[in-house]
Amino acid sequence: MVFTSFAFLFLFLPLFLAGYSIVPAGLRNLWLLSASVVFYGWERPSWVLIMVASTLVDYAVARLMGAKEDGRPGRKLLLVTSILANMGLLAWFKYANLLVHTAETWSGADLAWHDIALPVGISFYTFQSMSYTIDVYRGDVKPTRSLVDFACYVSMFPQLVAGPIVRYRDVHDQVVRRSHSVGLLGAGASCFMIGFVKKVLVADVMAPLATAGFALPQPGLVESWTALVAYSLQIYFDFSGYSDMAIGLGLMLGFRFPCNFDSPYKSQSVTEVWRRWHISLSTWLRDYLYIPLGGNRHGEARTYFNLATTMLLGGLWHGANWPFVLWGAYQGLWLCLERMNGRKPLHARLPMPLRVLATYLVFTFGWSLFVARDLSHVQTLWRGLFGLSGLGETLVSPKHDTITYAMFPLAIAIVFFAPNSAALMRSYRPLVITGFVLLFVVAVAQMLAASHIPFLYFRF
Amino acid sequence: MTTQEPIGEWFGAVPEWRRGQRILAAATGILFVAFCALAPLLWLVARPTRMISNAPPPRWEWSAIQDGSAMRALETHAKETSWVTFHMRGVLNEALFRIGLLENDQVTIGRDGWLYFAETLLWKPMELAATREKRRAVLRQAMEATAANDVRLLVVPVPDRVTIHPEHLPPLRPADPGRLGLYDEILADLSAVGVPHVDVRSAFLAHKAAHPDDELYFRRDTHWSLSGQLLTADLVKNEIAKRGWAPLVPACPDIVVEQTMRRPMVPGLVAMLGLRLEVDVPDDRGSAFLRGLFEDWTWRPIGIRDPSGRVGPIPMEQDDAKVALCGTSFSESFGLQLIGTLGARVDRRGVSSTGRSFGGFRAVLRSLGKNGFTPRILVWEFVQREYQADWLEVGSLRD
Repeated sequence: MVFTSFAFLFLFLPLFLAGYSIVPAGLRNLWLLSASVVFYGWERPSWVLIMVASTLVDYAVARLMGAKEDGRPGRKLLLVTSILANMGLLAWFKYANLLVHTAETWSGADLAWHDIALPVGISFYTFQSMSYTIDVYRGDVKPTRSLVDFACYVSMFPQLVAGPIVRYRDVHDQVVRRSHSVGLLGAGASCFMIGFVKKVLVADVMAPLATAGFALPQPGLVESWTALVAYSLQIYFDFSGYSDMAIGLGLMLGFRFPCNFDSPYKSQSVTEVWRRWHISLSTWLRDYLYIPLGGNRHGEARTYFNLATTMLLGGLWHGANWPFVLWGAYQGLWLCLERMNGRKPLHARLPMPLRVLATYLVFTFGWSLFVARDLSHVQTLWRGLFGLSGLGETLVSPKHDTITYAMFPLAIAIVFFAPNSAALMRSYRPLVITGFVLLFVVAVAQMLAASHIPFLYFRF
Repeated sequence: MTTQEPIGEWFGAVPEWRRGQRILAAATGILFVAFCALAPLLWLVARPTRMISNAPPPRWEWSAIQDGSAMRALETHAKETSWVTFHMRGVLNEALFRIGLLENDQVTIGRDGWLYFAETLLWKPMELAATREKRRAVLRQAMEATAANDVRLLVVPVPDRVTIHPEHLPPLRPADPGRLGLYDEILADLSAVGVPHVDVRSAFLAHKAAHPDDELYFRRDTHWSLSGQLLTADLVKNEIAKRGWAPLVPACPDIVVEQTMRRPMVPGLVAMLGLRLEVDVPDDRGSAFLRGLFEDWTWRPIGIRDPSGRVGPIPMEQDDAKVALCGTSFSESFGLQLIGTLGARVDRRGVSSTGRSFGGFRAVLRSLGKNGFTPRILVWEFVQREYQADWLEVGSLRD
């Protein structure tokens, strides 16, 4: 189920909130867990079993770890079990197809393989669940006794399928005990509405332009860059909008989820972008991959290796596709180059507005790898982006022409000059909030009128 | 419950909201919940809407639940029968329509109050070229199947409105010249196989030039007007005479052609725009804006006099008719006008609004020779746009 659907907004959410408000406080987590299972299994009930397996393994592992004293060898074995179980699930459901197809390509053999469907959100909840066992192993958090509380943490529907990736140590107090109020409900609703507007009225309006451009067999310079910029806007408003909705729903239920975006396109270096883009993933990778690899504690060369490895795996996390790996490598390369340059961007001498623009272009160029279907598509896109396929024409999206072209510069202006969701919520100006309430009504009408465009991050 | 709850760490170093902001937040929260509860509450008090987009409720079978189709069907059903959808979508689309920004996947908004079925703007030259021989084989099969039953085939390809009226397309969407020439492809195939046919396009273009005020199509419906039907019926009559088939068509003196009538109707393309319009809406319902989009439907009632002298409707199945008509929804009203123009009985069992190009033809083939059904002429109508749809996929005329 997606947030921007009739079923969620007008069936699931009102029924869930009604139940949540009337069940006794002690049963709220059970109600939330039950609703999350319905939410997740809405279209594919069998996928719930995978989540249940991951949850049970990590719950049991953490309980067993808790029963052993620190430093006992059994604890490490248990941790390895948890990591293997979660990574095994990810490897099977996410990477088996890639490995088999690559093997087929290299060997020329037909392995009669039937592609495995990727369960929605598996990358998010396995990381979330795994971070719990790692934190228990490290002694950062005590294992919970309640299976319901832990399952509730793993499966919580607001952030289940596309983050933010929440760590148990950050929310375990709230899982056990949290407060509710009409004010929090309103704050959450406001945040949800802001995210909804971003997704439906900006991201979805940009989508046809990006899709049309990337579908061209030989896009020219203008078409390629128009599509790429449109995609950069689409993915930002799509994903940050989803995060806002998740955070808002969390607030309604008394949870404080971490901020996931902080105006990343206003950054002055790629390093800074990664501090402001998908923050919950980048901090997860930092804490559970980069630092365990040694971080910057073992000399410059090892630091570059760790940085590149982290970004490479981060790219692979996004999908089983070689262009994703290249995208991770591209981002890792820029991070290494900036580190070599004294943690400054290569274009540090430019005036500030041009630094921001140059950073945006460097980061956005990376989306050409992210969005490509395969390596030959990368080649096609790059030929267009470097002008090797001619100048091209004005890109005409197949529909919503006028609205899309009106939204294009507006979305760019919002990205570079407008305050982000967190700032809007901090200031909470009556006029602005009223404006978003009205836009939300328009967005709901648009959602009901338009055909469905799924969230981009659902496939990761 | 309290409205003085701190907003939490998520917002970082958030200064405490002032009283006014807390009240605003509380009001927003209540408003939001009330808004989301609107659809379930309306289901309890109001009957479901009847829109063209209505979808049936899901079938609760285990396999459908497993593959998700049951839940998707439930979502669509709930969404399309909800008053929330009806009003919110309708108001937005009406506003966008008024300012000229409405567009959806099925309908292209033209100029001068014209709407176009989006499918009629598609152009698939590669697929057409690749399937030319297959289409001609199907036409040969049609000729052979009818000739084997001593039936003469006469094909009536109906040109899309955009072929006759491309001038009302929006400026940013000019018709592809190749698409406008699709009718030539049909005529070429028919001529190559030697299938008797009438060239409706030429007749329509000539009529349009001579009588620019007499519109052959509706402006906001895909179908043809009474003028278009009568002109085509004349073409068929003339072609029958030209080919010397007239003696095969016995006149029926009991056919009664009455006075032309008219009433407003909801055009099909308007119904597809997602406005606040229920199906089977009475003529006097709807806002002034919606009524402004209705079309005047003119028709010529045609009946048959029974032995007692009473005039009644003509049954679709006429086993003793020597002319049979098969075709699409275009034939639903055209069939009667053909009866009126020929002054003869015409069997219309092959007229099927859902059968598309081949459903009606197959229905006639199946009935030949049964219950004394032995027509001598079969008029086969199909629409131009299906030459890029059904005709690309058909393998055989047999079921």
